[in-house]
Amino acid sequence: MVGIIILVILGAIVVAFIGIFNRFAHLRNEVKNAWAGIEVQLRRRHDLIPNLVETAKGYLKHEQTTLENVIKARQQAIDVSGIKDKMQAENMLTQSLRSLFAVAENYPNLKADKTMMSLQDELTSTENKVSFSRNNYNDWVTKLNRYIDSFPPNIVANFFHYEKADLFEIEDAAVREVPKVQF
Amino acid sequence: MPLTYTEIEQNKNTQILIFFLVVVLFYFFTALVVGSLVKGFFHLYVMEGRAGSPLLGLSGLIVSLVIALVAAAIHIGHSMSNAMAKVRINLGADDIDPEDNYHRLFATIVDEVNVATGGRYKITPVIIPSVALNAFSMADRKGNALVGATEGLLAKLNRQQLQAVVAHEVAHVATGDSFQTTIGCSLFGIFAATAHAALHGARAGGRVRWTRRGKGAGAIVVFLFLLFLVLSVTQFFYGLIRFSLSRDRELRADAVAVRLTRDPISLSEALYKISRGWRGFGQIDKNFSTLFILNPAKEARDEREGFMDNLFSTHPPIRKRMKILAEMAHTDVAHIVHDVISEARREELAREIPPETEADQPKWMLRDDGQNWKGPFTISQAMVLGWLTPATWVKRFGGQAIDETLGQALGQARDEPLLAPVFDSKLGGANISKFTCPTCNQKLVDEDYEGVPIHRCMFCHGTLVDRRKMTRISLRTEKGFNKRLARLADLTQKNGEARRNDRAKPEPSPFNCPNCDQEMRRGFYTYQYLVEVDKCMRCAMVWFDKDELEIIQYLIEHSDSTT
Repeated sequence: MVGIIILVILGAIVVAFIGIFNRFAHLRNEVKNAWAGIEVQLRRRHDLIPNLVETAKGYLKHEQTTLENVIKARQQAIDVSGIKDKMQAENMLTQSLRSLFAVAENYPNLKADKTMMSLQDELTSTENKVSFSRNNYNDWVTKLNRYIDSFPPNIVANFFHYEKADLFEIEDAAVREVPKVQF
Repeated sequence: MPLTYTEIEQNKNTQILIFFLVVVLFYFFTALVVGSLVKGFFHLYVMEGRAGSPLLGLSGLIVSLVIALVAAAIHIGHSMSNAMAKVRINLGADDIDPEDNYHRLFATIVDEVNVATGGRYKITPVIIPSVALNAFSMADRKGNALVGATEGLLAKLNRQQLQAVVAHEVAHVATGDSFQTTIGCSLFGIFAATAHAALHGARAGGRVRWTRRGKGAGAIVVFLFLLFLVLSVTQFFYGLIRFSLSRDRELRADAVAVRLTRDPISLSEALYKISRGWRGFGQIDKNFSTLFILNPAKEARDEREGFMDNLFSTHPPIRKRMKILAEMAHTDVAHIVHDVISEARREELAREIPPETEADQPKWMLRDDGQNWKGPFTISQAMVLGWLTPATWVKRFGGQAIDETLGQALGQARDEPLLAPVFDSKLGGANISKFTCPTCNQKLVDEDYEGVPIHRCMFCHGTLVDRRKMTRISLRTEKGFNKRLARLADLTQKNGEARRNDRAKPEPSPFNCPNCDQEMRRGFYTYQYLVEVDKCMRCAMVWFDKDELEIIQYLIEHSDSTT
């Protein structure tokens, strides 16, 4: 009799363990997938920047430092690895692009340039995609972290050394503001 | 966006089961009626009431059920294969036009929002070429989806609002609602819509024939009655299907949309704007209303929240939706309405109004291949000439010196700094069109007018426009009108009214179509907007003389006091 009860309890534990394990596998994969989604958009942004700089160069003869900052920030964003460093580098890049566009405001010829206009449109769109994929990633990370914190999954997490994932955060208050896009 | 997949799959499967049951019921009912009629007929006339009962027995019921099951399986299988494409044809949705700025922006937004879902779906943007304000989505089982908007919506909503609407539609795709409604519409909707349209047409046509000839009227009445019967039965069963689609789907999609874009205010604004306009009633069949963000027909039931309303309505009250969204952003509906109104005012002020008189542009005399001086030309005219090269001899019109340091009046085009853009296509930005101006015989220039590509002559300022794109031009409001044009428009319309009757029939135009070389026809643009233009009857191109395009836009905008 006691043997049967113990067997039943053991069976229940094994079933629960399998369920929790699978849920972890699912969440961790989704987080990985969402991060890959961000990376696709970031890479797209990195690809656009050389063209942008090339186009702007002709007009911004006296703004070499701004352009160099963009190129430097881009190179840094490509070189670093690891989520935390990457976030920092990407935020830097966003800042430098912002100052480039602010400078470009003073050059009507550059603003009217067709290549520049289409690049700017595409960059705006990519920027939106980065923020959307970031939302997606953060949603999944929150879900995973919450699961790791809860009981009994925290036991399984400890056992397999599952760690919490980092949120992709924006550090600068000015960047936090949603840019108003006009058309 | 975390939505558990198993949940959606289960939901999909139960919904399909409900559809299947409704369809089985439909065929069982039909089989019973037909079976009873046949058996009754057989009993009365063939057997002359000698043997058996006139009613269907147990075996009859079983046979009917089997027939119903088979028929339902065929029907469902047929509806589910390619359902999206079938419903799309019925809605008349077109692919986007890659040359149109507004369409491109819409496609970009759809692409962006899809990223927020983690890029799970293959979403195709489509456009309903209608002035109505509405949006819809459809999906199939494999993750292919359509998100559609009307031309009116593209013209009237700003980027954020459009993004919010797209997010709402993508949310329907993500939660599996779109798949259900698509199948629902495909099962009965297409049939009901066709029957509805036929009945409508037959009623109008029948009335005329009824009064003219007595003969054949009987047949028409029988036909109408049958059509009506079929329509009522399908409507009843389609009603059952819609019954199973909760109106709360829309609230849920609003919530998911906010999770996608984090922007409840824009969605609330968009709902307000759509609710204030014409949503396509009469153009979009009511049998497809479940697909749309707001019911195309303004039904009182949609705005009530009684028990019956909750059961039968497919869309929740607009005010309620706006209120929930406003509360998410810690504001209220009154503020949102106020913002929409002040935005409209700002937009009206921001319209690009061309100056009353054109500024004096520098002009040049140019020496052509035959060594003759031609001109004077402005820079945009010089651009399309074709024979202007950097080596061409030029002099400023008006006698100024070209190079002030040298004081020379005559020089080659490459020495004139103001003409440099002509040879630098990257900076000039003017695109020489493949068409030639029918009156000046010079190349036209491709231009962007209200987001639509048009072709303008730099000499006579006439424009060549694809007639199918006129709806878009008349809907969009980037360009404003100066006083000169307003006066000109009123005058033209008045002149047209005086000549409405004797010029009603188009007459041959003095030139051929720049696109297909067919002789064009000169006549009023439409019988309402009395501007004489040249139309090509073969390729739908229209030639407008100077200002005529703007005049028509002005007239259309100032004639509809409803919007």
